Amino acid sequence: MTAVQFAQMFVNGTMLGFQLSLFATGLTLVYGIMRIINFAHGEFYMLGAFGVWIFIEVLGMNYFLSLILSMILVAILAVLIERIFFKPMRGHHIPSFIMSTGLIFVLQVSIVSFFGVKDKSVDTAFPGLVKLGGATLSLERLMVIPISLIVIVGFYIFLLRSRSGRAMRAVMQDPDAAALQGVSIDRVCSLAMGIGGAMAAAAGGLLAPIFVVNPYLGPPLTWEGFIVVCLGGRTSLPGTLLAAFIMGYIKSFVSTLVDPIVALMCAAALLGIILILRPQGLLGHEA
Amino acid sequence: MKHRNLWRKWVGVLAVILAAFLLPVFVQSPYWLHVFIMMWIYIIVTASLRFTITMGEWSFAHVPLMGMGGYASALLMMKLGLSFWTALPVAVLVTAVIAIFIYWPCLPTTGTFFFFTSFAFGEVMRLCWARFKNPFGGQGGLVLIPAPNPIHIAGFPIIEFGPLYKIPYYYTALTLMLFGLLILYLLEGSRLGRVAEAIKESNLLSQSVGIRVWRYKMVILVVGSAFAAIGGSIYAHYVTLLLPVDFYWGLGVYIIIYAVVGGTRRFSGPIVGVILFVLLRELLRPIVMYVPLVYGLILAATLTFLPEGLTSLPDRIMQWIEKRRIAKA
Amino acid sequence: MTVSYLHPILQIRDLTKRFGGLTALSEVSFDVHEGEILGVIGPNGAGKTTLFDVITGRYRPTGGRVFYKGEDITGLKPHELVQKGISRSFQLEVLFSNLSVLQHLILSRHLHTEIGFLGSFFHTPSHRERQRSTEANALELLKVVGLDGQKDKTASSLSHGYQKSLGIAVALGTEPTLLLLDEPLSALSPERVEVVLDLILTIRDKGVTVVVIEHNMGALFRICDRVVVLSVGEKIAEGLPEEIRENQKVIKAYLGGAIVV
Repeated sequence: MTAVQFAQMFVNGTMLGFQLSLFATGLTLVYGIMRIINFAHGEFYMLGAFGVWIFIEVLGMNYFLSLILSMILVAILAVLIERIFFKPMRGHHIPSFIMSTGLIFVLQVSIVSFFGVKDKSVDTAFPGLVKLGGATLSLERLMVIPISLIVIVGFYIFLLRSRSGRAMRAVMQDPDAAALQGVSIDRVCSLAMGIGGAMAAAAGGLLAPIFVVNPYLGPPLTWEGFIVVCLGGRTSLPGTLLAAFIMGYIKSFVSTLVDPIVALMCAAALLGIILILRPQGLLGHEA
Repeated sequence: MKHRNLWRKWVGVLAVILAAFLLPVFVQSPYWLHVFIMMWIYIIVTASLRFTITMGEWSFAHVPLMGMGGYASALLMMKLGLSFWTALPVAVLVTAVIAIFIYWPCLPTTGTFFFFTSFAFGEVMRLCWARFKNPFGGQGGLVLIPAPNPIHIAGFPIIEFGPLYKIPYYYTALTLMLFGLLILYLLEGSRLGRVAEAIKESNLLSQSVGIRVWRYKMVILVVGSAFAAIGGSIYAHYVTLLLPVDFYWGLGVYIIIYAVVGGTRRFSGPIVGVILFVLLRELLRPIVMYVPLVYGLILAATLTFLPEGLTSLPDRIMQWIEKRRIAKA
Repeated sequence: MTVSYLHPILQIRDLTKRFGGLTALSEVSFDVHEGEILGVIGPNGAGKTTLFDVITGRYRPTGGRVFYKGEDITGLKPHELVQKGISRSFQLEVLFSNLSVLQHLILSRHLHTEIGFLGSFFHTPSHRERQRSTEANALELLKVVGLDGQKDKTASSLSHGYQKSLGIAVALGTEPTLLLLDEPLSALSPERVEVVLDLILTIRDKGVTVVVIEHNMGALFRICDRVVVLSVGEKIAEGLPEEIRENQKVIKAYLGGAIVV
């Protein structure tokens, strides 16, 4: 393994880490606040990618505008889904999981019926290559980093400074106490789902020019997202970030040095091991 | 009165079984025979999943273990030259042993944790099929799996299996399915079933009366996987092609949907669920693209209005009638 | 049955249990003598239920040992302890909610039924015979606790008082020599309190040693031979009920009131 190869694997891993951070933060938020398992989260990612494709390739819009518009539309859909389907299932893991698999079918088929099953591609908004110390890296992959960073930092500022953010943190810690203090649980749940959906869509939109866009992007990523959430600590947002990068680097390095399938095996084994040996995850609190 | 109802129930069941055996007399189309063959396979897999659920845990390694049964019996025939009729039981045993290794680490976990750990280790096994071209065929799959060996019964013409001869497959699948259902039904009524019920109701109380909960859970999971392996083996030698992606979470979710919509409280639940969804798929052939959508909507509707599945409908109606009777009195 | 002070049936030595940062039990030591009724009292959070949990193998102790009939049983699994003759009832409802009263008792006879698996699978005549005798056993036990009239009712449909009795019956079904009862009198009417007190005395007379956690000290002190007092995980007193009544440390532990008995 040369220094160049290492640099490429590292950048790739960092990019994947940011992708998973955006994606899994939404999962942690939804689980921490609503205590449901939303397996359809990956569909928000897929819809974000499709949104960007539609806006850029079909409507000829600017990349950033497409990204933001996608995020907003997916957020609205997410809130609707929460209100209609998930509201009665708060606190129930397996029923919500089963319900969300039904939603996956509904969303996938809807996209397929409009756009077909074939892969689509989005032209990159950041063409070109960058040379860093001997390694050649594509600009678009590098650009994932600052843009994701902006979204994540923006989210954290919202969480830590705004009233709604504080309400969300309160519900994550102790829903009963929060309710007693006048926090509207329903509003917080919708907010969590909306933000989670938006962040997943952001991840989808950011990676759309890099990988392909098709209706089936969701489920494999959702499994990875769950591994990240369990690894980091199901209700710990910092834990999710940590785990996202661990996962990203494992994927990147193992895929290149060994085999993509072995990378998946490592991820699966990691999930099992973490749930058995340390169910609260790396940074989580509850047993 | 109770005896008459019981008698009626069994006569009904025998009638249905008889109808199933007579079906190929009336239905000659290979297409429809195929539909029913797959139905028998799905029923045994779903019923065995439901059997494991009776002790209170949902396993997501069930369908991968079905696949393991298929791969095992295919390889036993292809690499070791065994006859299908020997390979099948051996594959079931092999799968049961592998199931022990997969479930053993999962036993300390319960509920959602168990669900995900069983998925995790089942995935590792499934990815092995994708990773190792030798012997599993890798991502391209295991191809050219031989059909079951012809059956020689003195005095009768030789029964051959092949892509053009669906009827032997039909009866093999039907017989094995009925055999499996019978065993599962008897097991549920046996001591194993009683203890499984107790474990589901209260793990804690079960332990405090001396029940070795881990041991019973393991037995139930392994037995469930054995019957899933039967389904997998028939599948492998019928479809003659095994792909790792066939046993990915997609099929696992479908089987769970069949069980949930049919109802997990009653033995007949999975049977009803599979029949409903398979026939529905045929009905929706013209709009095949929308089939998952309809499945998803039925699932959502069931979970919202009839959470215990379709087979809980008779009980629900009885309860409703009772309530009306009491209200009026 | 007379208490045998020469034979401690259960010996707790320096038993400690920590859950993360929380110390539920701290160096608790005492003996339980064969044939006695030992009361365990203490304010909420004193660690009484945790004590039972550790003795019955639900949790491994962080430190210390438990001896039963001279044998070290520390860290054994629950089913092994049930086999040795230790059984318990639970404070909060721990029942098979959807199963009937009779089914509860049949399951409680799990260790004592020699139903072979094959026999139950094929419903052989010998299996049915054994089933009948298990049912007869179960009905006997139900008579002892007064539940035989409700044998087919679902556990969740029983009144609170009967649910408690069911819990005791299930614990008895395992044929224990040491029975641990966790708050058997809580939320019972005065009539049912008398019934359960009589039941505990009957159980002791049949040769079972009983340890009872209770808050209702007035009732408890009428039947127990000795009392152990826990507070915040530590044993703060041990002795005869009359002594405990006067014990200043105990009175203080119950937050500044005299123990109203």
